[in-house]
Amino acid sequence: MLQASLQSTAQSVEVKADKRSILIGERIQYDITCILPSPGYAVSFRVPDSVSHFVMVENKAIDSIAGSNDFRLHKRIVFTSFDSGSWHIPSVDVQVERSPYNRTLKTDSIPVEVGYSPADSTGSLRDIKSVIEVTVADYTLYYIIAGVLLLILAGLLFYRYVINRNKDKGPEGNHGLPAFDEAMAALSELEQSGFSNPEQVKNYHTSLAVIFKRYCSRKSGTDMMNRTTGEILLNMQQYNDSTFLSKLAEALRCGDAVKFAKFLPAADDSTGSLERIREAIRYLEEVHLNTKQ
Amino acid sequence: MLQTAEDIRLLNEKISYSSNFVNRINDELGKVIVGQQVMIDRLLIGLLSNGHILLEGVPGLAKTLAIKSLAQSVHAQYSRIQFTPDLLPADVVGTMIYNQAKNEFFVRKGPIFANFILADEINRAPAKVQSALLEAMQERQVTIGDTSYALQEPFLVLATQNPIEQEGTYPLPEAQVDRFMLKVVVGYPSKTEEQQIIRQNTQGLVVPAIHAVASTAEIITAKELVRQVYIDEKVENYIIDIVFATRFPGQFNLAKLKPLIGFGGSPRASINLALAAKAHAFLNKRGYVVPEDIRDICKDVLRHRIGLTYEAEAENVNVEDIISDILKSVNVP
Repeated sequence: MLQASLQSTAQSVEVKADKRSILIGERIQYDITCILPSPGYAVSFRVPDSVSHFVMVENKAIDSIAGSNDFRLHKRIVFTSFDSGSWHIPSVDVQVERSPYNRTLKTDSIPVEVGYSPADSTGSLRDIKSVIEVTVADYTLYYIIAGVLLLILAGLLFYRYVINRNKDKGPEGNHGLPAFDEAMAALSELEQSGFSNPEQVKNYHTSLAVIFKRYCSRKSGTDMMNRTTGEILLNMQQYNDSTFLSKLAEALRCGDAVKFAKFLPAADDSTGSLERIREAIRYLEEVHLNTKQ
Repeated sequence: MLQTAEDIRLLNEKISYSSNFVNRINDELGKVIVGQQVMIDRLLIGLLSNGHILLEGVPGLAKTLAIKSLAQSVHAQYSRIQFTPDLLPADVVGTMIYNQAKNEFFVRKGPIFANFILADEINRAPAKVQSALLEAMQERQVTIGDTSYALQEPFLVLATQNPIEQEGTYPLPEAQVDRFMLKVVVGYPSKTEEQQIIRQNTQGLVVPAIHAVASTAEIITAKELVRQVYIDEKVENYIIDIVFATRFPGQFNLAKLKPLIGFGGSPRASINLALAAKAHAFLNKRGYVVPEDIRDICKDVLRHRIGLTYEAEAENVNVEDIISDILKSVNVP
């Protein structure tokens, strides 16, 4: 009885962990040692399959150590944790049997702190990998060239636009003067030049038509030099003035007859045509001025 | 023949008197045809300048009515030939028929023996029938058996083509199309005109009758006057420039047209442009041609005489665009 009592008090279990505070993923060695007075005991470490908040990395086999006064059974389990916080590795049952003796010993639970690596802003930064030097191409020159080319292209397009716009504006004339003044000056010059032979009459009437077409071209901004009498009269219908239209038609049709039908009008008719063209230009100028106002 | 200013003045007076029948015909046709004044003008131009007309337009645009009414207004004979794939040349010009009782052949003249011929859908008949008609148009005579028969004066052929439904047709070769003086594209009437057409065809109980308001003799006299219409050298040069621009666009600052034109107008184009311009001047009661006459008639004369390249077709450029560009670039005298 006394022996049994002694034996019962002689068995004990110790537990220890090499760390009480780990970083996430760091390993912790958990050792359970069962101390027995002598060999001949059946010992069973009832380690659970899983421990909450921990991952069992290694579950080593039981090791036995025979000492001079006792007999020890040792088991090592390696845990880790990926769950930050304060956790406990729970108590583990160790069953010790030797007939008729049967006893369950319990280990202490061990608190473990699982945390992140503390940030240290004072420490120097370390490269994860060795630094690889990258050569960066300098595109500045290309950008400058492209910009210059674009400017040249834009300049060319603008130049073309200006050329075409000027083309539309009609014939080259005395552009130093406004269209009206230029037409009046040309009519005065024509009036003074006079005509004495059929060829001069032809030129006289041709010039009348040209002066009128040039004035219209400059005023409207479209080339009217290549328009026929009919087309010009059709264009003039926009002013809705029958007197103006009939006088203009008379002058231009007379010019057509001179140019294309060998018609030789009387001197009065020719000067009358000039007056009609002059009136028509004055009328158009007035209309333009009124429209502007 | 050089004409003096006095000749032209006299001609002007003569024309202004002799062209009165044009107004009467226009008034008479106006009774049954609404709008389509351009088509009527072109018919008269063809009639007065010995030309023939190819008319293109969708069905129902009064093409048949126009020529029928024109024939009635001139008191002339009219016949219509509907071109079909099984038509034979003899169906057009006529043939020799055997008379058993008299034991001899006699001539049965075809529908071409009339003053005004409507060759409806000319591209539906085979080439040999087209050739028979075109030959008669050109020669103004027909040979049946051993005898040649002159066609009546005035003689005007109006051939029609449908721009749609090209399947099963025999398109006219360029050389034959060239024989038509004008190719007129007939467009749809305006909204107002269409309204008038509806009223005319749904409200009136009796279709107005066309009366003969001109005689064939008047037409023949007018044709002679048209030939005398004065055309100045500058206007002639203008015609030449236009036709040359269709052949050598590069010479007229129209290099962009060069890849679009396959072939330009033939000398027949220049001749017809001058003749049509003379007739146009006559219709406007003038004894001389002005550039307006040329510009007005130019598209109808050149439309079928300019061949486009595949590039032009790919770029969706049509002959009208090309002619417009030419008219813009060639200097008006």
